[in-house]
Amino acid sequence: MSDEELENCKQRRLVERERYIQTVWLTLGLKHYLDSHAKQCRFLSAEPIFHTDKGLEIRPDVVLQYDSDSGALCEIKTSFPFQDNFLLEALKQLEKYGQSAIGWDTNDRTVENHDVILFCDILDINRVLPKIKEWLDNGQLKISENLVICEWGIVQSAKFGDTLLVRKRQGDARCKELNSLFSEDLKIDLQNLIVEYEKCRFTRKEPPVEYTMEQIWLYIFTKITEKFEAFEISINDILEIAYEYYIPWSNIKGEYSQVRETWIKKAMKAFCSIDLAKQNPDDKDKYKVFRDKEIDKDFLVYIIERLCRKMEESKLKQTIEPNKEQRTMEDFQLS
Amino acid sequence: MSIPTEDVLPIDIDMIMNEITRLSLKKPWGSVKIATLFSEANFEELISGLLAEKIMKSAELQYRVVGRNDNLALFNCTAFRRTKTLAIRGSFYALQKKPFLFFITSERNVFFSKVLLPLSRAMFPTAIRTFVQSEDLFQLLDKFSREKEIELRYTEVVSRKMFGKAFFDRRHEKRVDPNTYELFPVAFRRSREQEGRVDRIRVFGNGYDFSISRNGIVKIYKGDFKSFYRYFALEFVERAIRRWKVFEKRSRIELPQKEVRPILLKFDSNVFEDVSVRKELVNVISAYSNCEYSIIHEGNPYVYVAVLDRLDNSSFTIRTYNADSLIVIPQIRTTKASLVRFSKYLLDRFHEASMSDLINEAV
Repeated sequence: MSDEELENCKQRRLVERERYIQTVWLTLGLKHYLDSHAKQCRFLSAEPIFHTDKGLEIRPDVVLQYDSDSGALCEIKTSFPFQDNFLLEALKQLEKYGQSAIGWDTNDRTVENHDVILFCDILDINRVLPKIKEWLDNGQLKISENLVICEWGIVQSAKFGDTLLVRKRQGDARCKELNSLFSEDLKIDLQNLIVEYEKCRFTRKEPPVEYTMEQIWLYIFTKITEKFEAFEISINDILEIAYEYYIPWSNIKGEYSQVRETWIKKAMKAFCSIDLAKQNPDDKDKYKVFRDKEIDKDFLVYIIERLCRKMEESKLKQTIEPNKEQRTMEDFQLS
Repeated sequence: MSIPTEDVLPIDIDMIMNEITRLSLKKPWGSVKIATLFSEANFEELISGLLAEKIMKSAELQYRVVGRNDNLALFNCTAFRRTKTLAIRGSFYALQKKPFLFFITSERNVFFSKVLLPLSRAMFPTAIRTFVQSEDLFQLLDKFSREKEIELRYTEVVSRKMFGKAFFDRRHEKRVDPNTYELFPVAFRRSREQEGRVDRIRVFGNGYDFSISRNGIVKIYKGDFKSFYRYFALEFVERAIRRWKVFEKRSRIELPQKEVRPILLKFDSNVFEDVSVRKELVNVISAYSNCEYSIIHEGNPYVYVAVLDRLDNSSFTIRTYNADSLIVIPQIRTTKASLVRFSKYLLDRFHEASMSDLINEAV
């Protein structure tokens, strides 16, 4: 892998991680704003599992529930593809949200009707909005429920910290209060949420693998020993700590943590691939962690560089030895 | 004014220390140096335990008990260390009155800086070198001067600006009339005028000649041990303990609701308005020894870095907050020792700050 390729790979991964962090902040900002300001609309959850009436699983990024027998399934987008066919494919996800959904905090877990709210990054909105209108008009995109489109962005300031901006660009929410909040330029001071952020590092959308690795290495592993040394740990041990310290976004049925077991497993596999851990051959859920290695540079950059190189190696291997069993970066979804 | 009994050493140890000091100061250029530490562990444990293994890699250490009572012990120690170019041997006393621990020596500076101070660093986190702020140095000199009724004048001052940049104010020329030297408060005022803080100051007056530093070190050139023990050595540790209270119970593990309890470090001015300062701060943090770090924001528009302390496997994040503050955010496991070590590093390599609980401050 050339230096330029490595740098490109690294930068892409860093951008992915930054986008994920921003999604967490948007979710956190909305939750706290609505919890403290809204009376007719409440933040129900971040990425709960809902089902359509046909049994299809849907995982909206945020679910809001209104006082009346309605609510909103929200999708947060930090970026959209530039090519029309990929953009349309990304937007098609909203079609599922437009169907009757089961999972609400009501007796029968349904509501009479709901809104679909798309939060689109402020940098993408002027490109994406006309396309959505065009495809809705010509039927290429079919969303049967009420669609509301908001733009969002985080303004960063050395003096005042981060401020989250949200503004409605199209459609009206069924909840008058929410509609009025989004119609004005909603500004949420994120600096006041620094403490909350430490407990809410994950939305329930899958993070980039290196983000999970970073959280595990820098924070979760500190609970294991009082010394910086190699140790053995199981997936369950890690999950238990994650459940204890990264609290669920809501108390609705089935939500007991922000973190999912599959993410932890992918992260541990990724640690193995860069020689920071080794899976126990007799018990696949246990890992020896080589915590005693000294990493004298930015830990995130260190793991990203090594993962990028591994990705390149595995691609090469695939080309040379296509028939051999491959364990590629797909195992931990690096790309 | 009477001296409180708790500040007085038992008569035998007092006599020993005063005699050592008297004999040491008789030597040409002789001085007695005191390093101040905080430790809840016995000195023997410190030496013979796991920490001794670390020390023994490059040094040898022997000790014997000189005297001991319920709450105080004095040890006579010899230490040897081989560096790349030097083989240094010397002796020192360890005086322990828990949680206070003092290393006292009349050996030359090379022994103090190359053997004794590294030895005390190797004891971290079981023993922690104390440090104070410029304001403490002023208050201690002021108290000493008032209670002893001595006009203290300064001969040498080292001040530090942001990023530890040092500047000096020396009065080395031999003046017959001591009144031609200026009183010590002038040094503090001048340092502030140049946006610095006094890091070390040497003063004299009426039979006393000594220097004190923010690193919790006392160097005696003239005077009796008892006075320095009471007015400076004890005070350094007491003040450090008081200041370090803000670092207690910060780990989320220790808190019933697993709360996050950040610490606010506030500087005198809007230091973070300047983007170059923010970026340089990231460089300073990434040069912190025995740590792994992860940069979340590298200074534009703010700094946000995660630090993992390899010495005791604890971690915290740091971010700039408004234009004049940093906040240190403890994580699942964040030890007091680790926060003390980092705050000392910031004092040396960045700037002096007041420390408080962020949430109480906001209230």
